[in-house]
Amino acid sequence: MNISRTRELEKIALEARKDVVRMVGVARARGLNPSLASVDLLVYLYWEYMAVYPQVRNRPERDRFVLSKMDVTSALYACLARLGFFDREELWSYRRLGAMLQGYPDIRTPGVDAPSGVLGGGIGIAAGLCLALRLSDITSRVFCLMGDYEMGAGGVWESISAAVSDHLGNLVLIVDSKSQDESIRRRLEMLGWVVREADGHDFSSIERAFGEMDCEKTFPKALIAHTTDCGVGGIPSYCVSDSAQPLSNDDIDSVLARLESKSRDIDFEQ
Amino acid sequence: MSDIARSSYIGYIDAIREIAGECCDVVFLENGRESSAVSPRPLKVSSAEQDIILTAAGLALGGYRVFVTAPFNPLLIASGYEQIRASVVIPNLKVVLSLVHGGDVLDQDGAARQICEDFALMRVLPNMAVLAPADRRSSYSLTRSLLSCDGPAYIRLSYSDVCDIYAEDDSDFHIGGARLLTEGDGVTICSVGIMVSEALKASKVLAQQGINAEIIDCYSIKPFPEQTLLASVRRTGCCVVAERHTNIGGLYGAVTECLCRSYTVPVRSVSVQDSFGQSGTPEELQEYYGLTHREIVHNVIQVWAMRRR
Repeated sequence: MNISRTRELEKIALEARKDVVRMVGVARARGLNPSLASVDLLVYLYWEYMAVYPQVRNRPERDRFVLSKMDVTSALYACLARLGFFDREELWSYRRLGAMLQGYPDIRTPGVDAPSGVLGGGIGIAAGLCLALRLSDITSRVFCLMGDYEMGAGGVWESISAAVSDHLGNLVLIVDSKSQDESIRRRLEMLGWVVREADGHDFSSIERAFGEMDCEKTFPKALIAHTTDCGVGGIPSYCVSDSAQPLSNDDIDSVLARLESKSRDIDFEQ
Repeated sequence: MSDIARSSYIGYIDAIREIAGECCDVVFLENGRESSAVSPRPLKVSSAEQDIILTAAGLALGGYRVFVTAPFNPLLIASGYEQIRASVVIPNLKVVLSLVHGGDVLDQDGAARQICEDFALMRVLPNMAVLAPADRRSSYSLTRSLLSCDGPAYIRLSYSDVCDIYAEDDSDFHIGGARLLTEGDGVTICSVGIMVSEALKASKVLAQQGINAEIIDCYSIKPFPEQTLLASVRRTGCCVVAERHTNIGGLYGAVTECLCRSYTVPVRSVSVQDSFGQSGTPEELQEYYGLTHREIVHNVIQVWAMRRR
């Protein structure tokens, strides 16, 4: 990936992060941390890797995206709005009564391919979508973003092992991993998955990892993307901790100010 | 009523085999250890309940109508409840869940495997249609009618052979419907599934005692055929409900909710009284839990004495 494209994606990711902070601030919701952590992954997928058609709703040959990691819903919405699936104004009524943007993805929202709501349930739905695509002779891929903490939930490994026996070569699982736990990779590989690891905030690293797996057509693929709390340094840790309290307006302002200065840095480097 | 005895499960299998031959946008999944060779061209056979429900959701999102059959696992809806709720019912996907032995306390396995609260579990979910055919023909016809259903549906089947209640060419069954099997002005008997034939037996005994029973086959527990019930109780003034289910949240729940709201009459329930099942032979259990035509007669006599005049 050339340097100017990297800078471009970095800028998109920063803008998306700012939208997330604003959304979470307006909605007085919690969950700044996981959303900010996954923004880079979502930006890479939506702007670089997946085939998406914001102007044509439900085009059959689009790649599908299933969000299993439910607490990054705000980041998904921010990306979908920026891509033009719906008006960006919708972001400010996230989680409000009567709003289009429900707390967790709902298939009535443009750009949302699958519902969320079951911890670890995204991988099973993604596998079902892969089977449907195969039956319809569509070669699109299905992407599923999960958090590493979901890997211990209910039927996740049922679905993961079934994906191998069903030869779902068009299934791509992205595990957003905050821990350095090696066992997820080992277990996936043991079951027959093709696995690569990447720095979840480094677009070139993500591109390299996906590039190494692209030729695999028979077995499902997984990218273990290592992420940090919010992907951007200098944000006070209490702002991204799993606190029970929504952030105050001052906190929101200070996080936004930090993101602003970061985007000035990118401009300067360019 | 003919002498040929066949189960509602057979009717369902006949229907889905036909559907498999006719429709290419229908997919079949089976919950079990290995294919029982009952489902036509099953796309997937898996004993993982949660995974199979999620897979069904994914297939439905991809534009297919999905039939999930669990021939030997009545607990599919219990172990996959969260997945059914969030991934199938909330997005209102076209997934049919069919269970054999759902609600059947007359299975020898004992309480853990006898789920007799399945109507209640499924009926409380918005969007979900809940069906339980009484014989082979109605099962066949109802299963075919599911092809025009726009959302999720649950259908409870049984392995028990019952004498055919409906004629071989009868196809007047649809979601939200009910059938009046006998007409009478003495008592309304709402029955479902395997209890319909018990109710028919009871009506013969009652006729000898001078009570003409009006028997309704409430094969659609949800949406519930309220008008059929109300028209009947306005004539009879009393009602008995017969079902192989607990007395909470099933057909008795649907009937009493409707009657309390619109036209109150005395009601009695022939069902499992808020308890779990246990091991035993089907005959012993049927007697123990009082799921017999004699118990229906007994309840009718009580409720008839108190009928609204």
